[in-house]
Amino acid sequence: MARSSCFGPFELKSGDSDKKQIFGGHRRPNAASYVTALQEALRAVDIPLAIVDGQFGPGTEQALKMFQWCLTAHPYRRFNQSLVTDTCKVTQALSGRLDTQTASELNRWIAQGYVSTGDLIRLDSKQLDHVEVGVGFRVLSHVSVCEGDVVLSAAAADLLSTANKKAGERCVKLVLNQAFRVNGVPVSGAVVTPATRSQHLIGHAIDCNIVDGSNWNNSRTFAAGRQTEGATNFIDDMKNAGYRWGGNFSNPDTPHFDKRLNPYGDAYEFKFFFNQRIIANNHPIPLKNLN
Amino acid sequence: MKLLRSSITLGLALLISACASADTATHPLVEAWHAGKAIVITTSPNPDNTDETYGDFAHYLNNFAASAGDHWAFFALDPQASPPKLPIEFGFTLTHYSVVFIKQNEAQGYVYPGPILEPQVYDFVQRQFEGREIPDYLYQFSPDEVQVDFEEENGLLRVDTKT
Repeated sequence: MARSSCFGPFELKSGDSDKKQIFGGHRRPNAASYVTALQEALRAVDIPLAIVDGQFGPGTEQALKMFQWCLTAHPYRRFNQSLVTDTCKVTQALSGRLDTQTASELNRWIAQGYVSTGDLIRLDSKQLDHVEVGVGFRVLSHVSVCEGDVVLSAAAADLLSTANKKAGERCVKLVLNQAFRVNGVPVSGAVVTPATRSQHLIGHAIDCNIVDGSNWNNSRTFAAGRQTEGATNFIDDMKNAGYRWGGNFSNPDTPHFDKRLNPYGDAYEFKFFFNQRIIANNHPIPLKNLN
Repeated sequence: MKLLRSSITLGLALLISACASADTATHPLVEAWHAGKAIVITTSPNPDNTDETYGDFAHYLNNFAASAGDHWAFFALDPQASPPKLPIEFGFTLTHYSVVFIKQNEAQGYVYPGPILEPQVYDFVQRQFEGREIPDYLYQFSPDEVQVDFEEENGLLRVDTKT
């Protein structure tokens, strides 16, 4: 009861209802339509919410968690069709309850005209001395993305910068085949069912060949145990730096490196949604300088 | 009566033969072969669409299929299906997610054992089948060569290791 806003003085949570006049888990007659106000606010900042009905059910709880993820996970906000970096840093648990900080932030976003987005960034491969995009690397179909751009989650940009650094130290070159992947089936249809969960779908993975002199260390090279010493050392360096190498998977995927995010957790779900929405809706993707 | 029975038997035999022949002759795989299309056959018995390796395999295959053009035809083979749904037989064991490339009038086809996880493999085969120049480095991505024959009598494609 310490605050008052258009969402009321209560910590709104699952089970609250305008119709039943239940707020903060207790019946409080003659209060206002606080749950409806919350739902309308979440929609105003472009958090997906199917219906505005004054009932704080699973959909509202999930939407609130998504907003809380946006508060903590990255500083990017859409503003008037462009992208801004929010300097106000917030640490917020994904509780799905409208605590004081979440309410305050939601009000601030609305006042400043902020709208939610994901954390995709573009990295110019020309800035990387030891990484280049391969012939088969597909440039994402998106208004912001240019030839040579590598799109990743901002939280996994270090995967590429570290790979570039380690490749230089081991005198090998990395040829990128894939980074962020758009979800779904190509326009002309699929031969096989695409994966529904992958670190590529959130921008946390790269696929590359390690080129050592004139030797391309590819899947068959590794399967035959004929990889070069430079490739072996590079992989060890990446693993020591905390990244996963697909060569250690039960079904080996030797070109694959990632910065794993639990694919069954809320953070993965939300990052998947917002990052895929950036591509689908042509929301802006900032160019990040690796230096 | 005896003549009638013989005629019916002969008629049925011809009908069955005609049906069998029509089945294989009109199968899209056989049509693609006779049309001179480059054919890609993959084995995907149990798609695990939450597996990272499967995800990469599916991504590169679907992307290649989307960009290859009308002279390419794609088929997915379930090796567990009985009877086999594609009129093709292999003289070797296909591992899961193997990819086979064949084309009429080519000196050889190709088989890549296991999932293709690098687009350069598709690039190599495409250049080979389309008679385009192949950069030296791409030979490092060449799949295994196989011999392909079409058996006219039973409308079946036969793929064997190259001797």
